[in-house]
Amino acid sequence: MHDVLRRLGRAFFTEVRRVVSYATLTLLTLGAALRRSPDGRAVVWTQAARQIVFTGVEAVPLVAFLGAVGSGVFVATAFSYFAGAEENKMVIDVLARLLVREVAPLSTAVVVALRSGAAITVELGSMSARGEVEGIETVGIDPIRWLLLPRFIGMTVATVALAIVFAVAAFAGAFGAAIAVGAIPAQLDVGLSYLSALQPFDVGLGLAKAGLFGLVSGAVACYHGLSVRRDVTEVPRRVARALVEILIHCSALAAVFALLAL
Amino acid sequence: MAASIEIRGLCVVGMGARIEGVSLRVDAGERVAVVGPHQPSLSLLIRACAGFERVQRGRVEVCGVDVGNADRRSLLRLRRQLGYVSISGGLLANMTLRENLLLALRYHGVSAQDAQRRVGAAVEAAGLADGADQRVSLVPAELIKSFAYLRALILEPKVLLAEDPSAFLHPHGREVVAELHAAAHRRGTTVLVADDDIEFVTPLVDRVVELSALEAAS
Repeated sequence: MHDVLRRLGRAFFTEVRRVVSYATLTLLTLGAALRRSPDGRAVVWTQAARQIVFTGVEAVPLVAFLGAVGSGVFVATAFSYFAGAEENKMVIDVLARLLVREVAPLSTAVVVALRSGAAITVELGSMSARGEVEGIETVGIDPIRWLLLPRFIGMTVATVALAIVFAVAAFAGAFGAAIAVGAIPAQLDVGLSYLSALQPFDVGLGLAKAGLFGLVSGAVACYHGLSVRRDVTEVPRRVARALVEILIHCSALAAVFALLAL
Repeated sequence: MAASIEIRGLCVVGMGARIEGVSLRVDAGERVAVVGPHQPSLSLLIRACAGFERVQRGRVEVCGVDVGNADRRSLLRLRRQLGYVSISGGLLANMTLRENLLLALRYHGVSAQDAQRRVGAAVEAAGLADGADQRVSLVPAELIKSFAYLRALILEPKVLLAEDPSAFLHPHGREVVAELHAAAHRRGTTVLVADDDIEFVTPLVDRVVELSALEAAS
């Protein structure tokens, strides 16, 4: 019994220590963003733009596809169960709020974690193992400013933008599915109901969650990448851990937000 | 003459090596090589001077900065005055050799045009223009090492630290590195190198000292 408690306690404190490390890394990076230093301003923004293109722009087709197909299937299935106009309106109402507040930020975070989180951990891990992070420090380049800040900016901005893409694509998917199944009373009503069901609070909450998930994904991916020492064989293990932790942390945050918004 | 590097009773452990009670003074503009049979210990000394190893006991001062007690930002500021060449070079593998040099200048606020001009001139002077636009991941270690020297020197540092300068170098690379050392000397750069190849480093410096002698003297 004592042994089990000791193990549980150790696991708990390990987890707490790790969360504190992520928070510290995030604060250091935000500090670097707020500092009025002329160092590397141009190159840092170029890096950030590249990260936004990789994480955001290149993921648009995938996110749009997932949003459209997911909501299309939901609407088609729901309309097959509920035939009445009032029930259909309720389906759209639920779909709109659920998508924008819950599904869009979390689904986007999953896509961002799988595409970019893994890539960032591999890239930073390989750089650490090859001594490149130390190499840039030798010429006075701040790794937090040049390596982490652009990735944090890229992940956060891209996750928010992709959540919007997801919601818009989901709207199109719902509309398309309503036409396909011949939903009544009128196809146009689906679109109007979708938009009217959304409150500014839902949109704000959805975007805030997306931004937070992007920040968490960036922090976890960067932390595990930079934790690689001289051994390149550590990289795959770090990537696996980073992905699992991003999914766990984002899901836990989503649950907390959902409870708070009740 | 003022000391550029002053090491007193330095003890450092790391990289599977240990140095104990090392003391050394390198005056401004002086060139010193620390030699010995065990390269990891020599590397440890140079890394401690650059602030990459935790000083356990003793004191290392470089350009007036107490490296062992300096915070992250002070170390970054110090490294602008410091050229450092690691064994493997540490260039960014996803960039070309030229881009690595440009990055060092652009980050420190040199305009794109000026940076291109300075890098072009440095690469030409070193006779390395042919391979400059290849990606680091695709070029031989010798070329990486030569460009690591160029990157360290392009910011015109007051002090040059080099860890095992002879590593990965064939005769041509050795000539290039020797020429870069000579150019640094003409600019008045203080140099501290550590290498197990005494024959190679002796012509590059004013003074050669054995690491074991530095430890024993303390």
